[in-house]
Amino acid sequence: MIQQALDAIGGILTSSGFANCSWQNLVMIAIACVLIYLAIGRGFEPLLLLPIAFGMLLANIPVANLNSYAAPYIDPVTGKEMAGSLIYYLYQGVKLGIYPPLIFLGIGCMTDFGPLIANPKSFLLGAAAQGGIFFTFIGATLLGFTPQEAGSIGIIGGADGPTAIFVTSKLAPDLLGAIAIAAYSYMALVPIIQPPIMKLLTTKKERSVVMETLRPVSKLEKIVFPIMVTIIVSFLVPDAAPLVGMLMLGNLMRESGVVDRLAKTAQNELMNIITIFLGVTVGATATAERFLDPKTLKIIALGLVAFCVGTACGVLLGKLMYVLSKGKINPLIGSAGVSAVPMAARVSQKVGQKENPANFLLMHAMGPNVAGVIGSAVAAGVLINICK
Amino acid sequence: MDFAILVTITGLVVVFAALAFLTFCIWLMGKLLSSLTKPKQPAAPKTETKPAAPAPKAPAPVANASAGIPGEVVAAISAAVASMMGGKPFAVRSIKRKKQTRPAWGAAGIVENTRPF
Repeated sequence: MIQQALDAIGGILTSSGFANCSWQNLVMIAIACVLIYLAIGRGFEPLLLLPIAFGMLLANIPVANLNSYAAPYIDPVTGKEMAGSLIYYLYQGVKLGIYPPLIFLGIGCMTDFGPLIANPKSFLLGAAAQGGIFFTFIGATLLGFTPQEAGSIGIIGGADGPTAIFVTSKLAPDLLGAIAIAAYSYMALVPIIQPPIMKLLTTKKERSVVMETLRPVSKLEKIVFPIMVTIIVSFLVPDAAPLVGMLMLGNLMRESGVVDRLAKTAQNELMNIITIFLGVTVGATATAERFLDPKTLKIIALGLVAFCVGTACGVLLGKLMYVLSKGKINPLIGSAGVSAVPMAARVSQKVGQKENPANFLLMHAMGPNVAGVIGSAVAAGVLINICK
Repeated sequence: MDFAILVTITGLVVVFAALAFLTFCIWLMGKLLSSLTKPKQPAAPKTETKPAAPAPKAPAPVANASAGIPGEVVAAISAAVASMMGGKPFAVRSIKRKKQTRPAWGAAGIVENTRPF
């Protein structure tokens, strides 16, 4: 009787995580704990980094099999079909490209495209800031990544988490964990990464430019805008249609004012639910064998390059527009073209206000900022089309 | 490497072309919609003789309305009415405090209980 009990305890111990733990698991759990600290203690994009980090922790618990790849299988001994892990099933929403467009639906409900409609030239700044994506593509290729991997790494420069996840899930799903973590970490670091580049590329005179007040935008324009953008972008780049279409549907729900209940659900409950599923399952792709790879370090370094180059491209086009407009456009708003709404626009406002405390660039920077969201979705469509 | 350069050039060209086209379309939409709504605005001054009456009327009633009420309060009430009227012309003729039929604490209780609905 006692022997049986001892055998049972022994069996539990040998099948426990302690007996089956590798050093890689421990390193990954430590990384997950650091990320949890960054999310809670430092407030680094906590809404996503916290579930991502916890997903990473779950995925690296030995034996529990809680990663995103634990698919259903046939037990070789009993011949029974065994179910996949909880996270595997939730992960299908990422794998099939469902969650990122739903997040975009919520973002559309929260975004006011008014500043962009009032100053459509902002679209060009949003396009220029996508330069980071494509120049990093060259860098990643030089470092030995395949075109699919290079495209997924480059998209970090779009500074748009859902877009990065959407592209990576289609092109290089194995890199999902590293790319999502790099994208969200750098988005949180935008106020640290961007200002030195903005100051380096502009003069004091340029940074002090006070821009003209934006014209008021009518409700009709705000209603026509999402319909028009959906048609134009989806016709030009059909691969961008899921992201742009849902973004604009959300915006139309907001601006039409006739479906307030739907708009509220899309931007609150639905978005929160999807954020939890997306964060945990993307985090759970970061298993030790996939994450503890020299590639991860290269991805993190290239992600930073993508952000810096994107910021620089936006500011440089801003400078060009400053010259062409005879000093009417403040080049600082160009850096906001890298998406990261509204953080990047706030950075433009802060840097501008340092030179001239009476200068309010926020509304002007929101134009390129929301144009960047559309721009990165178009860039994503182009990358998927060329590299898949 | 050649492929990387090809992707970079294609990507930048397509992104710029798409967003430049959007810039043009949104600019055009702004022009068209403002030209469609503009004829209404000049129409207003044309019929100046007619609505001229409400225009000068406005200060006069306000003067009456503001009897005993601070100017800022009149301005705030007029702004609130204007926002509710959604651009329709109106005139403030008098401002009267609504008779308080319920004690203040009772009113506060009702507001608290009905707020969720």
